[in-house]
Amino acid sequence: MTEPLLSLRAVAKAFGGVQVVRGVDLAVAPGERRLILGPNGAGKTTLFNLITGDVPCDAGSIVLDRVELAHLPTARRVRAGLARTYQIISLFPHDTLRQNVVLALLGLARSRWNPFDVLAARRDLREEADRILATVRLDGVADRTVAHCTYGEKRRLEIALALAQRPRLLLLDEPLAGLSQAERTDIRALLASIPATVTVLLIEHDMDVALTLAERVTVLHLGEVIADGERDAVIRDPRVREVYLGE
Amino acid sequence: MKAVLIGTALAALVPTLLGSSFHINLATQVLIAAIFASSYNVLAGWGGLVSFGHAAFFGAAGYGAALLVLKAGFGHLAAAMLGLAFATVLACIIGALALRATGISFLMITLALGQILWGLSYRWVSLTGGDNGLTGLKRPALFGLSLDGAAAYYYFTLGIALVAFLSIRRFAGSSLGASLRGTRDQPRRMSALGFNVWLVRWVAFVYAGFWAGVAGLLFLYYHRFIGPHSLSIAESAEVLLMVILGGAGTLTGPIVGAAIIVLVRNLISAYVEHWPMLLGVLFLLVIMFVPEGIVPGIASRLRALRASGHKAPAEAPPHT
Repeated sequence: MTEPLLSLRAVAKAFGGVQVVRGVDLAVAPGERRLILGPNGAGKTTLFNLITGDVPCDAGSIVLDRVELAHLPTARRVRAGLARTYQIISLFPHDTLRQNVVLALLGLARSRWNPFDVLAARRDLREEADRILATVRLDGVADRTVAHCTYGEKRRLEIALALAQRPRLLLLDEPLAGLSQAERTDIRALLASIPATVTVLLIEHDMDVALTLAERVTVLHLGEVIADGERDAVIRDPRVREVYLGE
Repeated sequence: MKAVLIGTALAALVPTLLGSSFHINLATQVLIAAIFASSYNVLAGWGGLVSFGHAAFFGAAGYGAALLVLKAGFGHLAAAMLGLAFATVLACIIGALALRATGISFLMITLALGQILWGLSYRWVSLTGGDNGLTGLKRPALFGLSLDGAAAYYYFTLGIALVAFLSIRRFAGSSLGASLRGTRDQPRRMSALGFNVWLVRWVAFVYAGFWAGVAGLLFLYYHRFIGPHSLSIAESAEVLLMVILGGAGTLTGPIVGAAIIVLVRNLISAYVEHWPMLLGVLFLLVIMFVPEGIVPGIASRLRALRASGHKAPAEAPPHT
């Protein structure tokens, strides 16, 4: 087996007396599309927050391409090649879509510390932002402020911000949540077009879409991994069917 | 840029238009307050960091320079540079301590640290002169030109103010300025985009402290005096009100806010005994009718008027 891009060992987290993530082990190969399943409260989003550093780990190791992330701040983890979207949309509402993407591009650029440049005159950033907006089919509304966008456009912009970071590992937290059927089809096509060089970890409850995107599935229940493996084998697992599908 | 040129030309005509020393001095005070308010706007307007200790840097630069001239015999230029360096280093230290928190905790830490400095200036009588402050300073001559006259000092202040406003304007439009606004609006998202949110805020804190120090130096040489009031909580609160009144997060808002407060304090107080009440009423009106501040409030209403073709009554856009 090839060396995993992301490797979690005995990762744990408790909030007060509640153990939310219990000794999770996970290995994700480069280029893999991994679906994280589990009922509400299983610890899926907390696991994402632990990987990105939004929430600090109590114990365990998180390694991305041989770099130990567990004790690094979020910004350093991002620099190591990690990007994410949020379940609850987190954008810059008063800025235009283009300005949102420019900010994402600046995040990894040295020029983000420049107090003398004129950001509005940076053609390189503007053209790159427009190219990324075109990949998520938002180039037609690049000058619209986020506050005036539809929910589906905001979801696509979330993905655009993550793609602008040129990640090696992309964490997508329920990218289809709250979307209409047409918008889901749109986003599904967008997710399917993410280059194979990007490894994707996906939390999604829309099984019809999610299972067409992921080859491997990990199932969490009460903070523990109860199944992990090939998509079809995991879905047939009686314990998974009992916990997740209520059968 | 056109607006800047028109504004500069008008400002340059002020001594000719106003004539009397009293009014020219008033205009100088407006400029000093405007630099101070613009520095605070970097922190509170674009950084979303409301501080109650910003006057510490204003006063520290003034005290630093005054002590060096009066007690150590330094020349004006060296004393001013070292006073400014002192204020900036102080901003580095206070920023590092205060930015461990945000929101109300940040405000309380800045208040506490500011009060420590105020206490030092008030109680360390042998060094600072206590409540009497430091007096006896003379204005320097600039390339042989005396700054003693009202008009000369006004033009000197105007030159520094132009540099300050243009620098702050450039900062606001820069990559770092955009990063700072991002940390105000979505700090968690900014971390997820690779920004060191703490460091961006700290740099802004130090930058704001530097320009507050510049305003403090101008204040020192204007009054030829510095006292504990210059780094008091009242001074910090007043600069906050200037920014809120004019419009936080805008370039011209703090300048307008500073002008209104300085003019009400110095002009209206001659005719109205309870002038602070008038200021209170003004704040009430602003909060009721243009809660985003005078400059952005009026600008958005003008935009709405233009959009409606001067026919329908203007409707305020959602507050930002």
